[in-house]
Amino acid sequence: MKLSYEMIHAAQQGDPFAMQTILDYYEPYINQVSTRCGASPTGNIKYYVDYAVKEQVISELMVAILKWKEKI
Amino acid sequence: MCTPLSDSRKARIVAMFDSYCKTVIVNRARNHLKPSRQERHELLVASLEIYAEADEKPEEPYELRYRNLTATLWRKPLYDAFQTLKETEAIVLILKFWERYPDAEIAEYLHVTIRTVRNLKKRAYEKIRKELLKRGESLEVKL
Repeated sequence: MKLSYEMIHAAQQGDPFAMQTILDYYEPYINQVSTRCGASPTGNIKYYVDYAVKEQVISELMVAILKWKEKI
Repeated sequence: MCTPLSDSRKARIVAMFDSYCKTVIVNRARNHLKPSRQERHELLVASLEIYAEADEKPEEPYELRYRNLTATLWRKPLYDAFQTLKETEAIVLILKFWERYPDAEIAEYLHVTIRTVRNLKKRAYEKIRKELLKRGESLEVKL
């Protein structure tokens, strides 16, 4: 799936389907930046997605999408 | 009536939107993921000070010896972390936390500049932090 101008425009107008599509598009990226590193009891380092951070990022991204203005 | 946008212009708008969203995502995640560099630094320094004066004493303390300096450690994880440091890095930490030397005096002791002392300290902090994290003994988490 690719982002399109029409989809962005629809999301800004409040179309929930378009908004969800954009959020789905960025989900892997959000997972990547929400990944944390921790040590297991055996001493190995393990990586996991911090869902609290992920949800926070998603909600702030939604606000940011609605605020976005085309400056071109 | 608005003129329809050309494809190249639409593509440009999409690219701008994409970079805008990625910037928002990275900035928000960064704010939540970890304390700031300054906070992490302060926590580590505070932890080392506490470790240097720990009153919880096992039967046998761990001794660090570098040149004519000796430091007593009461915790094995920190002792192990010290083993990964170069001699000069360990000496800088011992002089700072055990002997309470200011940077200028440490520089004089090692015959290096103050800037070098700061770099050595920084490297030593990073190594200790990584080593302790590997062993599940993150100082920052404990404090």
